[in-house]
Amino acid sequence: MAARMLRFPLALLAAATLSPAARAQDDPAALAAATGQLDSGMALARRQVGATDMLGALATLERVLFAHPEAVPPRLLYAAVLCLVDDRQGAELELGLLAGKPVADSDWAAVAAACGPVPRPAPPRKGKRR
Amino acid sequence: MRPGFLGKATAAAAAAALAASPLGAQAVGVNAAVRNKVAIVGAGTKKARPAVVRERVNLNDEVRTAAASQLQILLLDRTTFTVGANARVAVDRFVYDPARNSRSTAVSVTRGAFRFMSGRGLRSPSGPASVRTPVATIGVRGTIFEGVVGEDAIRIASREAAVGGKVKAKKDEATLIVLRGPGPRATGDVRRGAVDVTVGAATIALDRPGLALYAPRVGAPPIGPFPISMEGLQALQSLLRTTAEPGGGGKKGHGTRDALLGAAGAAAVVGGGLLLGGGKKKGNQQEQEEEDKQPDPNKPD
Repeated sequence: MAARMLRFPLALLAAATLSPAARAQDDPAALAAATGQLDSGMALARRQVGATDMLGALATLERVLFAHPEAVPPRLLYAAVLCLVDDRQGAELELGLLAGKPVADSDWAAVAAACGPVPRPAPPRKGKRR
Repeated sequence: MRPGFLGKATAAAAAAALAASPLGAQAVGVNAAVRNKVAIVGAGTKKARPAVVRERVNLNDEVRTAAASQLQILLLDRTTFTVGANARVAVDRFVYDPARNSRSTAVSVTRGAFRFMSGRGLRSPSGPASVRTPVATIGVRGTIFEGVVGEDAIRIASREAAVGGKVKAKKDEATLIVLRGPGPRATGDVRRGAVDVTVGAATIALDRPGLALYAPRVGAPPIGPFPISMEGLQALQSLLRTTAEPGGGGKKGHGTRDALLGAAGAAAVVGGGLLLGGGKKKGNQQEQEEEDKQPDPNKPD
């Protein structure tokens, strides 16, 4: 039962296909290069989640957030993976940073699947420029 | 220092790194991400140079960060070591031999904040990993943990109910350690993590996410384990956080950061101090002002 429940968040978070960036998982320099771009970094992190390399995924997302600190999807994924490693307190802190930022329903579904019931970040105020 | 061994799995990375480095220095990893002002002081040359992404890190190189600055080092065994603001860090020992299924890592932190994430280069690591601070040695058992050494440790710990503000501490020794995970409810093929913190004759295990230990000075008994408060964790995170800066980050000397962030990233503002209490200046504004007062990490102490 528990194992079946765990598959659901992993399926939502993991990448379905192997990206070129993901193939470079054993080379530190290539890993660093792969996370310079948002898309390739996210793909690599999802691949690592799919391979249950949660700590690797967190390290990848940390690099992505170094380069793209304002981006919402990597921080949501970062929070979700923190939940998967049972760091709920850390996940809630990350989600708190997203208050007032737009969160896509599909991205939030992955967070909710990984974290269970957590407060969704407050949406942007109407009329406020994003 | 013991020499390291580079296995076949990392041969390509090591060869690439070795090719661009001083002769004889042992590569232990690469600068995987750099933000703001970070300098590397070469172990052999004793000369400081700006940290550059994908450049190798050598054994005994000293990392120096300024305020609001961070560096992520990716070691050859895929262990990740993140160096936060105002830090001084060096990799003292690194052994990695996939063929023999062994590895061993020792890092020293004399000042500042850090985060350690164990790598999964080997499924059954047989070698130890440790982080040494002026007052504690942290033995790592496959985990994520964070710490801070110095005045920031005193500031954060003194606000914790389990510590209080009356503990006598030394600003160049005080160490706060926080375990982040994986915890007992972790998903997937992830081993439960823990750290063993040795302070003097005492060794104390942190084995649940959110547990913290505070060692105020040499000779004093450690305080904890205690659950870190949300405010305490947030304060520690603010030293390691990757949020954007106000005003587009147009200061001089941030070429690496600007290259990494691009125009959109540099212009964005994220509330780094959302959960900080009190009436003080918060988040990145405070960090930026502190940065302006900081000495250049490229200059010797």
